[in-house]
Amino acid sequence: MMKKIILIILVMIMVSVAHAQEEERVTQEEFACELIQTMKLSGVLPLASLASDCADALERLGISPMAGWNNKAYLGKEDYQVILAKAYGKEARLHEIAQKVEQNNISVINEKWKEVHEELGKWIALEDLLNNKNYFPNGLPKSPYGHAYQDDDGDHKVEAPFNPTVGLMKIRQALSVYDQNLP
Amino acid sequence: MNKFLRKFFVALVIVFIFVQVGFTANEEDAKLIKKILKDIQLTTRVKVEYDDNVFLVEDNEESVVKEVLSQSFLYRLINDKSFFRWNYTGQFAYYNDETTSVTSHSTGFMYSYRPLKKLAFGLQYDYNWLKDSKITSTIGDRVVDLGYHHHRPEVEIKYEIQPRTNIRVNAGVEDLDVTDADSDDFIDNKKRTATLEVNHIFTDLDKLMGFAGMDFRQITFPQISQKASTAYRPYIGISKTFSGIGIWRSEVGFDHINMDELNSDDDNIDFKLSFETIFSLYTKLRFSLNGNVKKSSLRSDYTQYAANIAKMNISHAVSQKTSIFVDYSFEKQHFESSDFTIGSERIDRQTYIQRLNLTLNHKLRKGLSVDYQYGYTKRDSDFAREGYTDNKFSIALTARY
Repeated sequence: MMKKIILIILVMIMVSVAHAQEEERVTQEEFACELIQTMKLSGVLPLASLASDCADALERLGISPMAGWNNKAYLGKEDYQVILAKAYGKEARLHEIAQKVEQNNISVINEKWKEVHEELGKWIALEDLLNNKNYFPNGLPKSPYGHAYQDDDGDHKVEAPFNPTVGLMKIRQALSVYDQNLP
Repeated sequence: MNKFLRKFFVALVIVFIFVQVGFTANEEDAKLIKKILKDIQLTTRVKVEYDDNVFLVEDNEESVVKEVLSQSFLYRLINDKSFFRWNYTGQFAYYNDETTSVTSHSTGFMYSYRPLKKLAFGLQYDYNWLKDSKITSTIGDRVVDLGYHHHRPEVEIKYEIQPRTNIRVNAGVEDLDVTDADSDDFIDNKKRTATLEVNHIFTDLDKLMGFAGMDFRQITFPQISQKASTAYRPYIGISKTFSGIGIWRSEVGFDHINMDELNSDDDNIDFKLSFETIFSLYTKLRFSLNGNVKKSSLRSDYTQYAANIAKMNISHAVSQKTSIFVDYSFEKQHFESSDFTIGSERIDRQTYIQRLNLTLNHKLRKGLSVDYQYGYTKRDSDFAREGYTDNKFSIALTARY
């Protein structure tokens, strides 16, 4: 029952934010304050709290966009979906999806890099590949964790970025006997 | 015990009558009372604890089983620009074998208001009262069997100078008043504190933040002037957020402590390091270390000593209904030089304190949970009769409604 109520509240926030975006875009820190108010989490705020303190407080609870809070930046659609999913406790599922997206991005870049090499008969720099919109007409693959894709060992293949969060999540899940039962 | 229960039931009846009168007064009043009641959270906790060293003594320890009944009240209001909290906790502990009891009360409120996007202020007041008893408690660095009144009002203002730069001003007063007039000469004190801090965020996503500030602290003892001091502590530090992993914070300060009457100082350099994880809503690890370059003067006891403390806290949700908490701390207090005010000898004294608390929390049903707890404290001290080992096992039932 409680889960349903929280879900309804979160959906209401999503809808209200979507409407608000049409009229006036909200910054990430302003949205953090709305979330604190809705979830009645005033106890985690410092004595005199600015909007940035709301974002800091939620970050300490493990609720943030994938790449962290960018206080003054406008809230994007992806950001608030991630924030709400984390607030609802869907963090493990979120990281599973993010990792799949990350792996897919890497294989898309690597395939395109190889394709360009076969077309031109030579390897072009990764930077040139990523900066050329013609190679990615649907937009450059963007890391859900905000990582910059790199080829450190020079084998013309993008390596999977070092991401301790995924490892930490796996340890946490292993220590949770009934993790699948968590909301 | 009976006297306490009688008072409790009388209070309950008064609240019941008040609510009934409120509901029947008129419709508007009833609505208002309903709204207020909706924002109130009550917590009742019953705990049974076995303590193997109830008087916290080095030798001839006495074990006891005690029952603790605590009742809390929390009223919270939050809107987009402000929040208000009013809380009260009353606790009654009955020691079976000693046929004695200890009562304590704590209450306070907090009001925070953000009138402008760039400006926020807050006001807070906390009051604690512990009844006089032969059961020991810790005040500052000492173990004593005294009751006290403790007040702490505090005010804070924060202003966003630029999108990445904030300034914070905080001022507070603290008053400790031991109720036993024959034993309070070196303990009763009034403390005035103030802080001015500026912080600046250098990078947005990983929030590399630098901060610098100045703490002011003045302590006076109503019954004795030799221990009064004024201190200024400039400090500087950085914090960094490793996105999705953790937050690192480090701080170093120079504490310039002037003993008012003696025209001498107890200057010290201190540092604080901490790291807390933020990768999960369900698991949290926190490590912190507070250190001091200089040992405190003996004349600083009860209030002005500096302790080296290492702490570790872990909380983890094993399942939807069960969570575990592990808290460990290791503390070293080191005092040097004599305290002529109490005529002690000129020798260094050290105290080492280890604390371990293990808690298993299990939700039985909505609003009802049970806690199984184990607490361990070991105190090795050069101060006579202040070393002890204490083990506590308890089971507590908590109802929130």
